[in-house]
Amino acid sequence: MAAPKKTPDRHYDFTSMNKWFAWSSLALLLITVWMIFEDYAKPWKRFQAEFRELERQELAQEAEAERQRIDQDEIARIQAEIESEEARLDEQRSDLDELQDRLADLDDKVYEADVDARTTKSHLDTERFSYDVAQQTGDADKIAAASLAVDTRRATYQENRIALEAFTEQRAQVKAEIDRKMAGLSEDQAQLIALQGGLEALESRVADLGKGLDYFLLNAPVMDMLEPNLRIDQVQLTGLYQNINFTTVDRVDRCVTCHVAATRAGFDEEKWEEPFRSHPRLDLFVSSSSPHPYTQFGCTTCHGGLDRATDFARAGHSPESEEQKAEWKHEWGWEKQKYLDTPILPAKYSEAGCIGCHAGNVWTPSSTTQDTGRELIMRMGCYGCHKIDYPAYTDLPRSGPSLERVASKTNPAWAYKWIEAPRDFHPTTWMPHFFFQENIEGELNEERQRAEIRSVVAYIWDRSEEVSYPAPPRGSSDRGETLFDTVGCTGCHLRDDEANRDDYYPQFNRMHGPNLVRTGSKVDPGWLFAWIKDPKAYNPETRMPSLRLTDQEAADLVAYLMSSRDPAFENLTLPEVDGEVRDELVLTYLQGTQTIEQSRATLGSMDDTARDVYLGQQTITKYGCFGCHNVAGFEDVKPIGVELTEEGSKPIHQFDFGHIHDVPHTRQDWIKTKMLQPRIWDHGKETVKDYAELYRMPDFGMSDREAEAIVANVLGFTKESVVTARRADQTPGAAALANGRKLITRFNCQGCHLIEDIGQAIKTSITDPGLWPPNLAAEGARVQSDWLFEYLHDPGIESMRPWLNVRMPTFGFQDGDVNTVLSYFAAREGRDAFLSEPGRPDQRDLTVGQGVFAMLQCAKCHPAGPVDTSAGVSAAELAPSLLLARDRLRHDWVDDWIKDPLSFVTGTKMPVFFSQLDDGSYSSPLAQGIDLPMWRGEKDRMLRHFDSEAELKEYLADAEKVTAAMRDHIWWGLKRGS
Amino acid sequence: MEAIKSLINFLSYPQWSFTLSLVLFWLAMRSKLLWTKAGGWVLLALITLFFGLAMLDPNFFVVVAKPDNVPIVMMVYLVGFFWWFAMHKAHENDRRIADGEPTFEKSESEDRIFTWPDLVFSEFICMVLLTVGMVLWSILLKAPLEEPANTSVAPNPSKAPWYFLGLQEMLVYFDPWMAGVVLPGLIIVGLMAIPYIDTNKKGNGYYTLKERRTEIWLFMFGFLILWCELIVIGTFLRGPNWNFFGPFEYWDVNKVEPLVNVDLSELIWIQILGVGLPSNFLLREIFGIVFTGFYFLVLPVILIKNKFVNRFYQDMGPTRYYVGMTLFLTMMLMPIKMYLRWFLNLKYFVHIQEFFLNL
Repeated sequence: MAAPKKTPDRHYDFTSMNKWFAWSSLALLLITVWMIFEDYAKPWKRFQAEFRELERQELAQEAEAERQRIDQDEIARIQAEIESEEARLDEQRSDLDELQDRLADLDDKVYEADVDARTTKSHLDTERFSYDVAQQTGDADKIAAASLAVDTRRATYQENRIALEAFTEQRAQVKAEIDRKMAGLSEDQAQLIALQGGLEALESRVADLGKGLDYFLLNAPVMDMLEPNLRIDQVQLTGLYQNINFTTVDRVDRCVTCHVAATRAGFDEEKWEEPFRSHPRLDLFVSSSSPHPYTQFGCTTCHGGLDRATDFARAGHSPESEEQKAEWKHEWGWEKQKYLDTPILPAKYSEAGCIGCHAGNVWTPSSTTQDTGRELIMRMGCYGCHKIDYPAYTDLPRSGPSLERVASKTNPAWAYKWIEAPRDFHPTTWMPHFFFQENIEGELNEERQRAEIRSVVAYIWDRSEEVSYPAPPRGSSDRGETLFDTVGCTGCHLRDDEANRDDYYPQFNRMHGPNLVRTGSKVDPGWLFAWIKDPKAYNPETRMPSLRLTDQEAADLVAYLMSSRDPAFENLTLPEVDGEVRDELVLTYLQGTQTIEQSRATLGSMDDTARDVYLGQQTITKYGCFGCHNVAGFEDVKPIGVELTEEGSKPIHQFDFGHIHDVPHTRQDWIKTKMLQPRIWDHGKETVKDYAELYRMPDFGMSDREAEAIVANVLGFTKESVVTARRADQTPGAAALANGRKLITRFNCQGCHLIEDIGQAIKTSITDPGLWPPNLAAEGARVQSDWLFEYLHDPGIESMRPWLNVRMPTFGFQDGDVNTVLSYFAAREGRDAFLSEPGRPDQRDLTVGQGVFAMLQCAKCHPAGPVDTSAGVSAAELAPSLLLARDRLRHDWVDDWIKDPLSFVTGTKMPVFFSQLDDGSYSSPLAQGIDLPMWRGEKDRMLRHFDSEAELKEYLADAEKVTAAMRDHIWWGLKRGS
Repeated sequence: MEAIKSLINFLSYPQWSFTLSLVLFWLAMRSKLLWTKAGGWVLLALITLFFGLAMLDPNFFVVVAKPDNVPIVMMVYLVGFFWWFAMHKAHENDRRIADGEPTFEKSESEDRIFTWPDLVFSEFICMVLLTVGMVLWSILLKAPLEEPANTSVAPNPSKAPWYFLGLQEMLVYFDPWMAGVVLPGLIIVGLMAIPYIDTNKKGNGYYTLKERRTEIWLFMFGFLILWCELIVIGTFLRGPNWNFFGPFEYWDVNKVEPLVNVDLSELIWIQILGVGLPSNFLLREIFGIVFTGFYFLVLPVILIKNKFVNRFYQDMGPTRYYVGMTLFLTMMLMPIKMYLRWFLNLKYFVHIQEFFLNL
């Protein structure tokens, strides 16, 4: 720096100071401009501006198309009419002008009189208040004066009102006179508007969306405080809180600031790119007529993400794949929001968002992936080890079979081989692989595992009751096969060595029970005979129902099932185990509670069997076998896994990714990887961790989509709270539905029946649709609760479809279970569970009912007696016997059903006789049909109850009356044995 | 490069870096070359070169470039500059005094400076430049907002505001009652007491080193080593779980350090004498109590015998001497305790949990 040139009065060199000042001021100016630009140029403005332009182009095209469509000749014609009409009016122009003047004059007068009246009224109110004040003083003079003032003012007000009303009336008259004169013209103009209105609206919209000077001015920095076109669009969601740890706050969603078209229809995938697309399924979400309108539910309630964010990265968008991540980084500056606890759910897991409000529903309406995942969690028995405090997963029985009497069923060597690798025996089993996993390799570990498996078998056999069963009677395997395929076994069981669980995705009803392949190599035939005859005798808690098999049927089935064998699983012996390795494991467990010295002594005091049994007990504790099986001695032990109730809110840093670096650090990726490779996080730590510390979660052999379906549930297990009033599962009847659905899954009703449009898995083994078990749609509207109660307790009492081979099994329900089913069906139809007994109708209705019953040939399908299917009647044409109607059906159902069966069961075989008209009523064809010669007899019989034929026809033309008469006939006229 | 980094990582562990900084402090305070203009430039170049090169390392970059830590980097430069500035002036003044010339301050105060325009105008330019700097900072580094606070999830590492990181670092070595209340209280009391204890009238209104060598050494030791350096350590070298990490180490949450600390009583009764701990706590802690008593009560008296200290005793008189010495010894307790922790795993000198009395 040059030496400062000082003048006597100046300490600094001011030429240089001024330069400093100039440059620093310039820097300040530039930086201020930069600051305003930074503050102003938000990315969402770009999106809105771009969408505006795209929409404008789109509308311009539409306007052009509309212009082409409009009939120009028609317009010319109307315009000519308008001109001639105007010419006609010109002739009486002076009259019209005078009327217009008077109208203008009267407008003024009405205005004036209105102001007067309102002014007087406000004065009147003031006087009345003054009167109240005077009253309180108690001074008679003041009161009198105030009272007088009120009266005077009231009189004036009255006058003002009269004047106002008179002027208003006069004005209306003049206006009517003008309208009358100009009526022709108005009509033509209205026509013109009807023709051109659409186009004009489009054109004005296109013009609105243009970017004129006003657009730039309104959206300029600072100016945009007035009425900008580009603005943040937000909705406040009262009651849909988000949890910010110390408190909960209402969500304020701003997503549509960028996703401008989300709430509007017509911006579909084919043509529009995000963020300019409509939300999918607007009938279900977002639109104002859907069950989830945007203004009430917003976006982040279901999708997650930062509600107030208006920036791509900060909103918490979650890429679905590494490619998408790279693309987003490049295009939108995406980066992981490490401080955001609830990033947006990736699209494939977005159903997880349903759980917040639908957790108690058990089946979420219209969710597919999530329902599959829920079913998988129930079938795989995840809840056995992991507490999941949601209605679907609480109070459930253990998912696997009881082991309390397993010694009667099979042998230890088979059990050993089964535990070692269950899927080798049953390719579709839900039993997971615990042993020989990726984190426990090596010779020593293998020896340890052999010792563990042997000890588990030793423990179970040690505690198991053993009953010996006599050999079953001789049966025919061929008959057994037919029976197996038709009587109902296939609703729950497969017998297929090639089966692959994933092929059945998304429904696993046929894997409700075990795959019955190789049964001959597994069980004792005597046991099997006793078991299928009466499953509850062996295990009172079993879900396996009785099909009321005769001894011969059971013997045939046993012969068939025992015929499936695999030599690899026969004549097995338990493998030898290295005693030292076993003892070392025993010592490790003993040392958990004893000193090293004591543990050696304890070991010494145990014989070989005691050591095996002790190790077995410890191993069962370690792997949590009792989570899925009843194991004697483990009745009240707590589950061993991590609780999953709030897993979806668990902070990401609490997930242990170990040394695995190619799994993205997100909840969903961790959980999915854990499902597919449960032991992966031990990778690289196998030798450092103690044997007992290694991960124990077993391998369920899941496919990718099975794992994803489960993740779509687990991500929804969050601590986010929704107020009760906003929860779908808190609506009336929701609990009845939830309990019913849970029971339906538990007993696999959908293996045979179609319920809520899901199920009938048995179809795969029964080809004739006429022989399928019934669709239970509308069951709650159809049958009487009393009847259903009896029927569910003992379905063998009577059969409404005697021609079916498949049997409704006897489940041995408790009353509580049956009531759950009744409440479920009633809640499903929104009906009361019970009806009062109807009164007896008069004879005329019964006669008509009988006649119409004959005319419509009801008895052709609804048999009144035993059915001989060999007589050429196909089962597909048959319907339930109506003799049971009075005991079984609801009185209010019968006529509704006859009138419009399709409204209850889509695809029913019941023919439609009465067609629905536009006004919602039904037309009846019977008034015409009665004249056919073939119904002569019916007509005569009916006519006896009517004064004239016209009266009869009027009756028959009324669908309501006719169907009621048919109902009465079915109810009162049909008798058993007739 | 990796070898240099691991050497730096190794050296930055507190026992070595603290020792090293003591040596560097001693050298710096004795150096003349460093406080010339050339020395200043070299110092600036070295620090900048270090930061510049070190920023190439991703682990270093993550920590240093964190928006919260930017002020600490600035602090390194500012403290360095002002230290250099003061020492530079002090050496210059010492030379002038030795040559019988007036000091800087003396000659400047004889110059006439106008408030307007000289002072106001230059202040105004500074204000404009500062505003430019602040706005630039706010545009380029976004506010380091984090997730909503959560009672069940504490951030790891949980750090005090940067100006308290020295205190937080003391918590590693002392009982919270000492590190959080007694020592900070004494720092404030001690700073307030300085004018009353200090009897050296020289150096008033001008920079000098020669005339106040001991005072400046003492203060700079406390400020630079025991305050600023602890802040730098707390900011850049303390990671998750308050574990120590070298500047180029990855902050691994799972890092485990062996840590079994023992009390002085255990060290002596069990490890040296080979007998058990006495049950009477006074007897048990007797060595700690004796040491503390010796340190605070006897040592000041013994030190009077020392010729160098004696000079101060004579100047200050007994009251000032004992107050000043107590404050000094308290300050020195910090490095003493640090070294004992590093090399003997010492937890407390006196550990009477019966009264929550831990030293």
